[in-house]
Amino acid sequence: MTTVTRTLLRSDGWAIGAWLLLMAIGLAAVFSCTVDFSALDQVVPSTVARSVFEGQLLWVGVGILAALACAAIPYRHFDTLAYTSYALSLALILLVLVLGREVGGGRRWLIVGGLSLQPSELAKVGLVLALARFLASHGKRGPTFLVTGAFAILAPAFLLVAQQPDLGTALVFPAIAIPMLFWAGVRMSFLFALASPAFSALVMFYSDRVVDVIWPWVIYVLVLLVVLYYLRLYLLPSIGLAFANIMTGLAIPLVWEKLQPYQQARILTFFNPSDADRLNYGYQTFQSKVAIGSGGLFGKGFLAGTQKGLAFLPERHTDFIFSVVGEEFGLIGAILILGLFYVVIWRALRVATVVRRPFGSLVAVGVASYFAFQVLVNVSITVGLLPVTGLPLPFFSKGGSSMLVSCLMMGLLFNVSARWSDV
Amino acid sequence: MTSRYASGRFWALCGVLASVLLLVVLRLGWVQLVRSDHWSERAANRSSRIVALPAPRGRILDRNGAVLAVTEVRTNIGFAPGAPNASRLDPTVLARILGVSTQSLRDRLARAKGFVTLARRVVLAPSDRDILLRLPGVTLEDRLRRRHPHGDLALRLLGTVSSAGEGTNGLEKALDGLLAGQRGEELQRFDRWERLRARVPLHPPRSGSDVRLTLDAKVQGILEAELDSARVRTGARHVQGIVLDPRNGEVLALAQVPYALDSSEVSEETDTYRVMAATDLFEPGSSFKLLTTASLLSRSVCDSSTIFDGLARETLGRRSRKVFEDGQKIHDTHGVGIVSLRRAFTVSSNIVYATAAESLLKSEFYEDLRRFGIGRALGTGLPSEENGLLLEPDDWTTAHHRSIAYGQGVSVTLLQMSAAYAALIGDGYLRTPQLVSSWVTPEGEKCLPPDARRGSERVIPPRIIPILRDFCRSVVEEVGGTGRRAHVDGLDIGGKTGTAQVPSRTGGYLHEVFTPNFLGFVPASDPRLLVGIVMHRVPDRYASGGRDAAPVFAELIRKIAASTRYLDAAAVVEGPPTSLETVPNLIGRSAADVKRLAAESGWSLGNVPAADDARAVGQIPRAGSRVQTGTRVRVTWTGAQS
Repeated sequence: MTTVTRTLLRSDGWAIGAWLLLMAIGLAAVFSCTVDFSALDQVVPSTVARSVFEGQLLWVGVGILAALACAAIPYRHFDTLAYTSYALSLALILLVLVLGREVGGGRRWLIVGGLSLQPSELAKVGLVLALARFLASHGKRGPTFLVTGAFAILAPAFLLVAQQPDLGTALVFPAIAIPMLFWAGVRMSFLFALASPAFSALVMFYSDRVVDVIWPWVIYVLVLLVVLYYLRLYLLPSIGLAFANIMTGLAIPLVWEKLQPYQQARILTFFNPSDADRLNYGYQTFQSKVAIGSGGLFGKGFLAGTQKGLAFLPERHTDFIFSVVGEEFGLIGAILILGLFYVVIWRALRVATVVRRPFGSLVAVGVASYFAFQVLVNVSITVGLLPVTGLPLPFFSKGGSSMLVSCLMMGLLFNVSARWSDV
Repeated sequence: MTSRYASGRFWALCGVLASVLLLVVLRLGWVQLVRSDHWSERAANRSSRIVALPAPRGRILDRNGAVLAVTEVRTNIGFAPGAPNASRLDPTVLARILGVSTQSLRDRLARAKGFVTLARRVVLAPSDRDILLRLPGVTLEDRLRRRHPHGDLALRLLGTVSSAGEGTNGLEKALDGLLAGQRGEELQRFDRWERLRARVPLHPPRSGSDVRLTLDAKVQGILEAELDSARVRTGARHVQGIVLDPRNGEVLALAQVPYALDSSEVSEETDTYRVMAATDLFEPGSSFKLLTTASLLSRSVCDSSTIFDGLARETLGRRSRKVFEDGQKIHDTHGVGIVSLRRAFTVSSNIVYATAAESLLKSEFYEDLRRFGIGRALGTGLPSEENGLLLEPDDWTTAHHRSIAYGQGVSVTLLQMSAAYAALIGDGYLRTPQLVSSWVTPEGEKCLPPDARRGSERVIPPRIIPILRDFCRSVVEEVGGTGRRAHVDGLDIGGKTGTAQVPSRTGGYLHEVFTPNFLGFVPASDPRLLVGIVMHRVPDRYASGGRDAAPVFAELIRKIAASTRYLDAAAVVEGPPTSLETVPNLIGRSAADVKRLAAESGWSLGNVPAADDARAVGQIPRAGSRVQTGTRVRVTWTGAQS
């Protein structure tokens, strides 16, 4: 206990404060979800049962314990165990494939003694540790090696999760990796070049599915070739890059065919959010915007959200919990919560700059990336900036795995910040 | 990885993060500030509905508080298995409300393939209704039903209420403003599956007032029974009757039989459910003579004893006919000879009245009739109330002028005739017949209708009123009176008969069909009840007001006197009327002698002799006539200049 206390006292106070506040508000939001608009009678059961809140309360306890435990053990031990833990989480994902339980069109859950766990969530922690170890130990190597190595490490996790299928969670892995690579010394331009096949894919999708002519993509490829020519890179990488761009572009229509119908629909709805789709795949985004928008500046008040209370808001205790917050606390509340998350991320990056040990520094960046991606993507979905994909809001969305992983991430941050001077 | 090395990257990452965050915050601001109204509206559209709450309709009571009409809400409870979440229905609560066992209800619901009605016409407590509205799959269908505890009593007058709760005819329509109340509104919030989750009252419904009518259920019942048997007896197409209190215009009973009118009579303007006393016009015939009398007397054109020449130029059996100078032929059923105006009223001489009316100016006569309420609506508020028909005096021919005097060429409603009679034999004020005695608002405040009086002036001078009452009494109580059959032993009755002809569609009048009517009141000296009876289209060439309508009146009064208290205080006449005097033979007597006789007996001297030594050489009425006390006898004296 003394170790825990000492660690906490020496770790970042801002981050601890923000963390506790976020968990408190998150619990309140989950509680609000269990309160129906009229709790006048017992005739119609609430669509979100009270037990959901009780379960979440339990998970908050578990999360705090996990964070403290994670903070107490000096992080150099994680350094040694990094690959092992990542491999372990991959093994769990494989296990899910065999034993997992199918829920809502995806096989993601592992039921252990009444508790359901998502191994794909745990893999996020494993990946942060594994990437930090890899990048810290090969810090002197060139960017190509680092990038190739990093993507080789995340590839199994990405592929396993993407085929579950859970594209949203799968995208977290590269999203964690790219800032860490940048932190490890890979130049921004290199990363952009690396990301260019993704742009190619996006433009191709736009050409193929939205405007239905090939010309935008052709123009993109031509512009890319001209830029590559003037950059005067080495021949082989240039050719490789051009090739990668063209191949991803051409692969898009084939990948599209492979996508699940609900994924296709979600993406299409995002590009064309007409009212005709409102009751189908656009329904969630529409209802989320109705809830948030009707909240206005000050919100409707705690527990008083009508769209929540009348069950119009789908997935309101999980992926769309931010809409509940937006409806009940208004723009002020929404900005406050984003601000608290910003404090967490900012402190994580701040810690990364002062920590002496590269592994610790990279872990802190990984933690920052994790929170930045989860929060920004989740909130963007609720306000209709991104197509719907199942991504929980840390500390808010109901669910043990997400809570546990987010608390572990915080534990890692406290750990690193308390031992910043370790070499 | 020194801090100096990391510094640039720190700021780069912070910059990227901050810009993305800014983008998200801007988007939030757009959604929550700029477009907030739009989304709020969407939120309200989807989840909220403003629902009108029907106001409970007020009851209709009779003057003694007996309920004549009351609205009941009966509810059909149904179950739609296809409704969202219907399978989640917990039958325990439903079974409790329906009063059946949970198991049997469960089985019934499980068997239901389509919509099933679980219970019909249930009276639901508000709390149970609230619960049922929230049950998935359960539907409620409210039926508003106007119930009449007294059955058919006064049904046509009361009228009907549409399924939407609006009065469609009769008093329900006329009094809709009082009875209907005001609808309330509540905001109902529905969840995603269209289940009611919350009810927010915006403003509560205000129930209608309970209206207490002037009707007396007992009198109404008697009237309806009498009219019904009269119709059966005479074969009249329909019979209307009214009982009102002439002192205040309150209608105690108003009825028509049969209830449902023949569809052949229903034109586009009128409907089967009309209140005929307000909508159906008839030519009153001789009963109109009271109005003519009132005009004659109040204009001092003549007095009650003025002698008229009722001699017919031709007699046809008992009927007699006079041909006026313009060629108009007027008939009397019985020849009357030379008579006073009073006697002409008693025996109902058309010839005398036609003659007498000639001495009234057209404009004066017209003005008086208008003042008595003829030719204009009374404003009872009953649906489609008719104005009646009275031509402008400029359009009157002389023949017209004469025939109006005995009630032809003028059309009235029963209500108009009753109102005019009530004014002329009552206190002289014209009153709109009153149907509403009071009403009680939902707040418990008791309201009274405005004064029934129309105009602040009497329509005739008060001195005329006793004369008119006396005229009417003579019709019932004197030998030769046309209304003898209206006599009721022990009661002092006044009235006037009328036998209206029915205009034929091809012009002229029908000869085999009549509309007998009778308006009578009791007691004659101080009327408390006025009764009007009209029998439309009695298919009998000998039908008359005296033969057909007067007995209905008598029977009605007898029953009212026997079973109600309205006539308890009415003076019961002891024996035959004492007010009749026999005029002695005055011819040949001296002036002093005549004066002494006049002083000793009930009659008075109409004109004073020029000198005390004058002798009577003529007298009117002639010796042996029975006259009313106070009647002036005109004597012709010797030496008098003519």
